[in-house]
Amino acid sequence: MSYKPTNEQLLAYLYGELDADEFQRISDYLEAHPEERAKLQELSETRMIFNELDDEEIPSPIVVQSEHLHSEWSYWRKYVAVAATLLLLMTFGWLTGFGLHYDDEGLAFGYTTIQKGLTEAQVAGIIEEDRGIMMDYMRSYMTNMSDSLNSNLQVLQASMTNEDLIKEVVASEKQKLMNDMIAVSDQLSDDYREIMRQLIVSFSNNYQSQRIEDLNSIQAALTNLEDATYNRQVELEDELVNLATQLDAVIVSLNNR
Amino acid sequence: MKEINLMPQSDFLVAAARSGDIVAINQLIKLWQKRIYNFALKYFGDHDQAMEVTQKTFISMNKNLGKLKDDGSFKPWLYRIATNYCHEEVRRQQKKWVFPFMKVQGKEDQSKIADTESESSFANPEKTLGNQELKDLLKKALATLPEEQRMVVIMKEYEGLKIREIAEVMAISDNTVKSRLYYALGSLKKRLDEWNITRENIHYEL
Repeated sequence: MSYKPTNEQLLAYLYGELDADEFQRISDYLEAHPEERAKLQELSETRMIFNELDDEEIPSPIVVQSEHLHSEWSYWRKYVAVAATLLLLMTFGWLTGFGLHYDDEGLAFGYTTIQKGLTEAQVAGIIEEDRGIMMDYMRSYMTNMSDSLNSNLQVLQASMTNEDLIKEVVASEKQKLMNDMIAVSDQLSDDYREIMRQLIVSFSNNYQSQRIEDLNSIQAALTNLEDATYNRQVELEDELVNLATQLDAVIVSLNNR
Repeated sequence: MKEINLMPQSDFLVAAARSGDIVAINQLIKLWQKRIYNFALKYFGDHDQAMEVTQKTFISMNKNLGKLKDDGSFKPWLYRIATNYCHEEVRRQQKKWVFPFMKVQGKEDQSKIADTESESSFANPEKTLGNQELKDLLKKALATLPEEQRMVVIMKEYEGLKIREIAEVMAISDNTVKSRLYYALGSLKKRLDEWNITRENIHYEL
């Protein structure tokens, strides 16, 4: 028999992928050629050995999230993301009452209602008001003082018997008066300092340019205030001198009597 | 040999998946991802590359399922996608610029592999062969095959494709498939002989 199957035919035989006729033909051939059968048997054994190599589990299984929408969605996704971020920011601003304001005085922003810095007129008003309070205080203090002097005078007039006593009383009153004066002037300067500090703190929140202007006007007002205070003090001293002279006159008339 | 007969179930799923049923698509992926992963894993011997090919294959499957004409030819169609991505991956790796001193694959490496093996347990035929050791050697043996032979062997031996289907996948004739298979098996046999691996010594410890 001159029939000899090709390697390809033998391989198809090995895998059982032949039609019945051909299969039979090759079976017969191998029957007659044991050395060919042995060769094929070796290939079969090789297959068996390689069959030991098992499958491995896939470490991270694949899942498809959405279907054909997918490509379109990935195109629009970035725009949707931008829109969502803007919406989020707007909601946040609305919830916290964030606001912007722009006018001739500049740009202002803040939460809830926007508070602007003080205007020059307001600052002048505050200073004026403060000055009024201070003057009222000094006026009432001087009234009290003259009242107490008057009452002392009345006491003196009521007990004019002892000259030494009178002199002593007058001297002690003078000393007391002096002490009070010193205390008053100390207190006054303390109060001013505190008020100025508060003013400056409120100003520091304002815009830089406006702050410089305001500080200048404060400086001017401060000088005025100091002048006024100085004048007041001079007046007070004059009055005290007057009182002392009056007191001396009273004493002299008492002595003459 | 391992015969994977998923065809009837696949047919039904393919039809549903083609109509856009997301559950069917995921079911189809679930059925086939292990096969495609192992196919690529045996081809590359590298997990990352196998995973890359698997992912690309199923993304492509999901996108192009509508173009599949015959539900029955899903299996070769899917392997064709995977094969294309395998070739692409090989080209990508070749293009990749590597520092000369980092280059692992070289001319001398083949002989080096052979050297290491002669020093292994096979120098002593009495010694039994560990299961993991055997698997590593089989992988190495597959890796020594030329790419086109390796692809054919994996599809035939591990993926259970028919010769006709392999021919379809690789767009070659049936005879070329048979010829490649024949030479591949011959080379593998030669390699096993060199390392003294026989059915007797692998089943010694089983």
